[in-house]
Amino acid sequence: MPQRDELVERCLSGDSLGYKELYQRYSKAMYNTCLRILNNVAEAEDVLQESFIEAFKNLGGFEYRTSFGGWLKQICINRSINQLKKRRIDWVDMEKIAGYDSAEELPIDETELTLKVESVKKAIMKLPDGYRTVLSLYLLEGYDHEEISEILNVAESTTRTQFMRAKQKLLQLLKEGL
Amino acid sequence: MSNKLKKFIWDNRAAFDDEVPSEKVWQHVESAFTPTKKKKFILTPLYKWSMAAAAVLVVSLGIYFFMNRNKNTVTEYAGNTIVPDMITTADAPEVGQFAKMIALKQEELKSLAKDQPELYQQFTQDINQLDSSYNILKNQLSATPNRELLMEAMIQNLQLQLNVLNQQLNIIHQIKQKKYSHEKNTQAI
Repeated sequence: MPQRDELVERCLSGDSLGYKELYQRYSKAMYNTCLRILNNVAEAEDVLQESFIEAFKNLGGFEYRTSFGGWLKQICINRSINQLKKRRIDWVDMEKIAGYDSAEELPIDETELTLKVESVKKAIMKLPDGYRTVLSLYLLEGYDHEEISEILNVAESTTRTQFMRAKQKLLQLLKEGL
Repeated sequence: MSNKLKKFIWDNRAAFDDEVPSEKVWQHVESAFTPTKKKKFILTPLYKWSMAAAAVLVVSLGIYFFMNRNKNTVTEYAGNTIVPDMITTADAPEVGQFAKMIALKQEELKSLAKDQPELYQQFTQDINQLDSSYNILKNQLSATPNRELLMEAMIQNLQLQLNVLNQQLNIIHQIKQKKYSHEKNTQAI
């Protein structure tokens, strides 16, 4: 069980300034998480806003099963996925959307590539919604495939396949210089 | 499968979180989370009721002194007892209790003030005023989004009614006591 968070305890004891400090501490990271899933500034800001309001309103029920940051991130991710679902993504049949044809492409060897943060970021944002989500959750948010399959409510084998395809697509974009 | 990409991302993880949300996000969070404006708006009527209570008290004291000077008009007065039209809801069991207590006090007042018709009329007016405020609040109850605060205001109103009734009873007791001792003194002479 994680240690008690001093800032969270301050908020719970009625210190209203604590909430702003919590926002300042976590908003940037949470915003980037939302933005990577949604790839849309207005939607990401809406989700960020609603997630903080939900977290603050339910702070009394926060039980330290995870850190506050981990808990808040779960709220942000769930809300982002729900927002994304409104775009009617078919998680299982994503290759149709991605225009991915595995038979025509040879796997790209990532060791040959020179990686730069800016170009990797840009390439991630060029991925189709489903690929970008699975890849972000795995490579950037640090969830494993079991956790991702629970978040997306699909089979673990599906997220593994989707991740492999997403990664190939990303490497392809990087190789082509975007 | 090589993990070069994964390692690269983890080594540069912080650099991937470089976008900043706009200021308005915090402003919205803050305004949604702190309902101070609404509270202030609802608390104003409460303040008004306390002012009304103070006014009632001043008027009652004025009448008390006035009556002490003119104790000679005694006629039978058949006033009506005002029982506030109470609501007994599950979320405010106090309301029912207040209603009972107010009705009892009013009966007591009525019987005690038989020989003070002017005073009784004035007292009844004061309570009527508070009771009509109570009814206004009650009518707002179905339309308000702030049900809890309004219920608080209603209960506060009933408390005020009860306080005012207590004050009125005190005044009558004092008048009676003075009258009694005055009569005793006259007899002794």
